[in-house]
Amino acid sequence: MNKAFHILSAQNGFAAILVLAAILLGFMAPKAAVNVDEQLHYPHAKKVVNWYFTLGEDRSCLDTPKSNLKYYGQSVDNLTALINRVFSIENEFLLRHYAGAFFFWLLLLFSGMIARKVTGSYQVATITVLTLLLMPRLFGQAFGNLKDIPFATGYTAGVFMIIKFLKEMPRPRWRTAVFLGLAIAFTVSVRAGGFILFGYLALCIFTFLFWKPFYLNSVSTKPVFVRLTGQVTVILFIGYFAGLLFWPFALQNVFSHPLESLNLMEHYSVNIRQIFEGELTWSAQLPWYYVPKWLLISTPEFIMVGLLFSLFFVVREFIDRKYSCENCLYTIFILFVFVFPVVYVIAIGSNLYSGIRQMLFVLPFVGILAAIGIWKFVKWLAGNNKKLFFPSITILIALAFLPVKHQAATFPAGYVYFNSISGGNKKAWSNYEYDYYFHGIKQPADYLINLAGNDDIKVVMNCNLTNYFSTYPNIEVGYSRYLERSSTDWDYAIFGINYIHPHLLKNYKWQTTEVIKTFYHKGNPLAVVLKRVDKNDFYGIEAVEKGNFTEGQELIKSSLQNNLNNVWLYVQLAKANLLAGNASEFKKYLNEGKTIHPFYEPLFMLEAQYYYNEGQYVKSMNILKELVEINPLYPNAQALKNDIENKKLH
Amino acid sequence: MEKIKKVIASLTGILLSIPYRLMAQDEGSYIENLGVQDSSYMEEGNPIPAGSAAEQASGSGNTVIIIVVAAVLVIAAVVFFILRKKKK
Repeated sequence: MNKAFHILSAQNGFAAILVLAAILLGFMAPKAAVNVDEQLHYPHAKKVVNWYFTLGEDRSCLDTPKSNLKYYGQSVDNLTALINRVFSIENEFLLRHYAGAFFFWLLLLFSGMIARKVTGSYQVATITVLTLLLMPRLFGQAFGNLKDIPFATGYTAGVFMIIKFLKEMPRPRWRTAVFLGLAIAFTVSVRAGGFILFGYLALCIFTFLFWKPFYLNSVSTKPVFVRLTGQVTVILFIGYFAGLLFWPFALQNVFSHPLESLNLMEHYSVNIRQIFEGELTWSAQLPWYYVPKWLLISTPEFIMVGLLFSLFFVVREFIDRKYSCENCLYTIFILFVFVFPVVYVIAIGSNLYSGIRQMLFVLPFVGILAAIGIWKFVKWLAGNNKKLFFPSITILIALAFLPVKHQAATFPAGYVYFNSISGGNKKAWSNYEYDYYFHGIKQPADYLINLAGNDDIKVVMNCNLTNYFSTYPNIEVGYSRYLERSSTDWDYAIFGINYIHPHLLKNYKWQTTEVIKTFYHKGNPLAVVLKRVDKNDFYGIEAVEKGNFTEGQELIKSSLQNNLNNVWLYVQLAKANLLAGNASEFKKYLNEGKTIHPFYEPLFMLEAQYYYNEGQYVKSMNILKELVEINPLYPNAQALKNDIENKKLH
Repeated sequence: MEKIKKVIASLTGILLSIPYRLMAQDEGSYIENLGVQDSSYMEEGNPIPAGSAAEQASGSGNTVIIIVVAAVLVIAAVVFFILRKKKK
């Protein structure tokens, strides 16, 4: 009776936490921020839907030479575009955020079910849901990230169905086979990487037969063999083809295009500048340990402790020769589906960026392992060391409270979380990529909308989140990089503290007197709103571009008086003097610019150009080498290098 | 007379070379656009795998739609019959 009551309570606990999570997600979704990828994928999703509506006549979704979007299945994005179109929903992002919340909830459900399947305990399932909710990097992207979260959901559902399939061996149910095929299909429909689940299935079947060789007799009988072969065929057929149905590019050639996409995703060609270990670098140049380090610095302490316990108990069970137990093997499988993708992307040298965003799908398994570890530890304490039971539980609860507090305090930018191993958020700012998804723009946008009232204003941002102003015709929105803002015409500006060199961040040289409000995240500047005092800088640069060097310089200098850290204005003054042939003034502004930002590429380019003009090619070349060291993708640097090399040859 | 000829020749040479010098100066200027990119989205070198161009698409729009509808029906039927059979 007691046992039955106990099981019932744990099961109810699992159900209750899922219901609570659903309420929480439903409450949070309308308040969530839009991220920069939504502005990329959603317009594409609309084109995809139109491709179907026009029976393939509108082929714009297949023409994505720069963004590579056609290589994404992005089925959930497409689904939201379809629903918004069919039901003419005005607030398109709201539906997207509810869709994200739904798939995150499914992720909680499947993760919990895996934990239950592996351990046979609903207590672990409940702890698993908790651990996932305590992962800010995962939970914080539940609403707007409709590619990584649904992909994680599909991946987790696929692993769950594989475990279920194995548990039913040697005669798995047909229903299991069909749902496994559908889980793989869904994962592939989000991103081609879902094909990995086929590999896992094959590996698991072989491991199963190796682990339980006596089943070979059963499997080799004709009825079982035929049934199993049929089921694997159904899984392959559904998993492969059903995943392509809502992916126009894949449908153009169902055999070669998905694999082409997979190849592209493994070596993604988009290169984005990232701050990592205090350096600004291109994503393609990041070191091999990028993902492991991010996992280490962004996983909450509570999860880390649980993971360590889990590894400890796995090793102990191996030493105690308990590895033949079924649950141990499934725990190892969970460990494998977490570790393998990480090792794989390192081995093939994938181009990764935005922290662990592209690897979010392994986090549920970190959560499951952590939950298993904590559960086993608590059980062990209760049985062996009752004195330490309550102090240990208190410490675990205290650790679990850290990400809860973080998320409550920082929503909608709660995903920006660094654990105490990295020194916390305070130390991570300016050393690691911070709000890469620009969630922090939501509040400044709301602030500016209130500030503008009915006035006609021009606003620039260093991101594509124009959606915040789409219903305000009096606000014209444009794009500008932060440091180059003087070259653009604007009245107000919103800048996320992104793509700014750590040197400027650490030395407060990024700041400007134009800032009227700074938005903080755990004490770190996340975004700023700027108001332009005058447009002398903009008109001055315009005058220099037209060749009116004297007039242009006067205007720029007057602007510089209020803006001593504006390195772009020093660049413009140096450029104006170089073009006007005034070498001493050129050098003066060049040096002043370098005092503010010693790593600023335009200053190096101007210096190299100066020496080139003077015929001092060796000096010019040396400057260019320094420039390429700082930024190998800086435009024109290579062209000037080639020019000098040609001159040397002739 | 020799000297005058040399001076005239030199002057003519300088005058004739002016357009070339100006052209060389234009060609040798790399500071028109000094902006610093944050991502390669807008830059060259964003390779598109060979053979992936949209114009190489093999099926017409209608054919693809027919395939999609047929595949949906087949998969739905398989799922329906399997689940129905299991209920029995």
